[in-house]
Amino acid sequence: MNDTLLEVRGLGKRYAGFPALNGVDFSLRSGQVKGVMGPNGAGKSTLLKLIAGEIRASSGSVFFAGHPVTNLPVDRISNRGVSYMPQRPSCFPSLTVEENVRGAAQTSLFLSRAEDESIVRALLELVGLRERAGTTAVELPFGDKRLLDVAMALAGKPRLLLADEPTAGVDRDASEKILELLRKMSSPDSRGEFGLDGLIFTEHDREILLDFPDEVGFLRAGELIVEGSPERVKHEGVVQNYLADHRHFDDRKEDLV
Amino acid sequence: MKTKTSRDVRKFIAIMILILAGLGVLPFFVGRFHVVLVTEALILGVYALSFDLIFGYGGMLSFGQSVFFGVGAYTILYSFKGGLGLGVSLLLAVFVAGIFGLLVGSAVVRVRGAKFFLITLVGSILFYLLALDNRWLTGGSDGMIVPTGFSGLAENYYLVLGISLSVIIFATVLVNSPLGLVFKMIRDNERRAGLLGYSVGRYKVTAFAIGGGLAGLAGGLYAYTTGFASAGFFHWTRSADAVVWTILGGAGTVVGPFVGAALLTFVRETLSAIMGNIYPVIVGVLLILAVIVFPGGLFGLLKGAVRNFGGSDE
Ligand SMILES: Nc1ncnc2c1ncn2[C@@H]1O[C@H](COP(=O)(O)OP(=O)(O)O)[C@@H](O)[C@H]1O
Ligand SMILES: [Mg+2]
Repeated sequence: MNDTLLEVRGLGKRYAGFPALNGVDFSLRSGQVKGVMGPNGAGKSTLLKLIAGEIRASSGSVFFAGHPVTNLPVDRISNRGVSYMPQRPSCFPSLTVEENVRGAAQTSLFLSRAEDESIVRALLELVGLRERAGTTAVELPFGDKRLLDVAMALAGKPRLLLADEPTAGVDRDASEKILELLRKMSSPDSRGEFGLDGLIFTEHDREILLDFPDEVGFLRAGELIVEGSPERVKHEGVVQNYLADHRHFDDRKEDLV
Repeated sequence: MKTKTSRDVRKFIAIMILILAGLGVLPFFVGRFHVVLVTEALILGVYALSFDLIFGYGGMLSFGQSVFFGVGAYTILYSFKGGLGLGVSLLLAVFVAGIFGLLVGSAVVRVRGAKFFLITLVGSILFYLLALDNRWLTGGSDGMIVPTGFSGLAENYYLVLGISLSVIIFATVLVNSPLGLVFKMIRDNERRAGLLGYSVGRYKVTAFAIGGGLAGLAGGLYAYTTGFASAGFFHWTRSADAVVWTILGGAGTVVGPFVGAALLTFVRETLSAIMGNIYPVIVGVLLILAVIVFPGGLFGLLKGAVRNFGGSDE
């Protein structure tokens, strides 16, 4: 119990009556990485948004580090150490890359502190956007926008990062960078200054999902129907069917590109 | 890249100093009419800037700025009636209008988009009607005299110039501070600002309080320098003025609102002398141009011109 970072009990969400998420239960231990997969519309984003407090739960509860955080305002949950990185790039378009990160990192409203400045520099270095520091965010290529998202999500030194499809739509290079970062931030031996205590991410790429996390959950139609180690999950029938379908989908996409 | 920016800043500062020097000696070279006109333009510049903090930086298209202007004007009026001096009265105007900003802001910041615009417009009209009806308090549309005692036009001018300058410095520091960065973040992407731990509503209210206080300062100065305040100070068209001046001059800049306010004040005075009714048409055309042709506002155009001036670094 002591090392449970996050606990979700009977969490549910209805959008105007439509059940997007149905009584989901799971927990995340300190130091754990969890991957969530499932078809489009399964409720993956809904699950992360509920934990982050971006939308209100219709039922159930969320405990973070032993404290109930269900339906707290999003900024309060964020300040407790839960960082949500939205599915689409979400930066401050008219501000520079450096300002984006500084805004995410700053801890005082009236002075720019030296510590904050060094955090900004370290983050820009970490995600490899140092050369782009003066670029207006709107002008960044898609992959760099996503890297900026990661830098911002880490800037508050969160304990738990909820990354919603961090590599979706991103080219292979940036995608590898992002995964490398997430892996590094969440592995106990190499995480350093911005190390995470826990990571939950959603993904559509099966290779990543079945290799990198400690645990994988499979969501379908708002239900968490399979959960366990990647080894175990990939042998479940529903998951195999999904992955087979998905493979075709991915192949089609490759053709289009 | 860095050197180019700092060179731009230096050029900009040089030009500002030139303008200031010009403004400093202005009363020695122009007649009374123009001294009064520039005084008014500066006050309205402060007023437009107060709106720009809410709109250009806070991202809220409010039509309620005239409320704070009116409140500031009547605070000065009653403060003088109560025998208080100019300094205290101006501070009171800032304070009382700032409180109104806080209250109005708290009431409206949860609302978004077109509804926000409508609710602030309706609020503005409501305040105007209240001011109009309560003649005992405001003198209605006839207004009331502000018992300022007599002060010279040049004296007023220098007072307003000094205050405008202080306001510009204050606003520049503010928008470049961490707090100013939060305002810009909320303007750009409210959702992410919240996800990063900022209590969006509270910051919007803060922007309203600061913008309200500055509008109160402008209203107070206006009442003081003209020796008069009326219910018309609350009229929603005065809110619209702030919107127009700011967009025309350049929203999200500190100097832009002054450029817009000054230009249109002069255009209005000049044109009304020549031909009465063409002013709204001119304003309309300028606004359309501002939105379509130079979205950075006139100040954006000027900045571009300055940057290209002697453009060895481009
Ligand atoms: N704001 C909303 N209003 C109504 N329905 C929504 C809303 N957001 C999501 N949904 C629905 O809820 C379901 C789950 O959505 P989502 O969590 O985004 O799925 P995923 O991230 O797994 O693709 C979908 O059927 C989606 O259409
Ligand atoms: Mg999703």
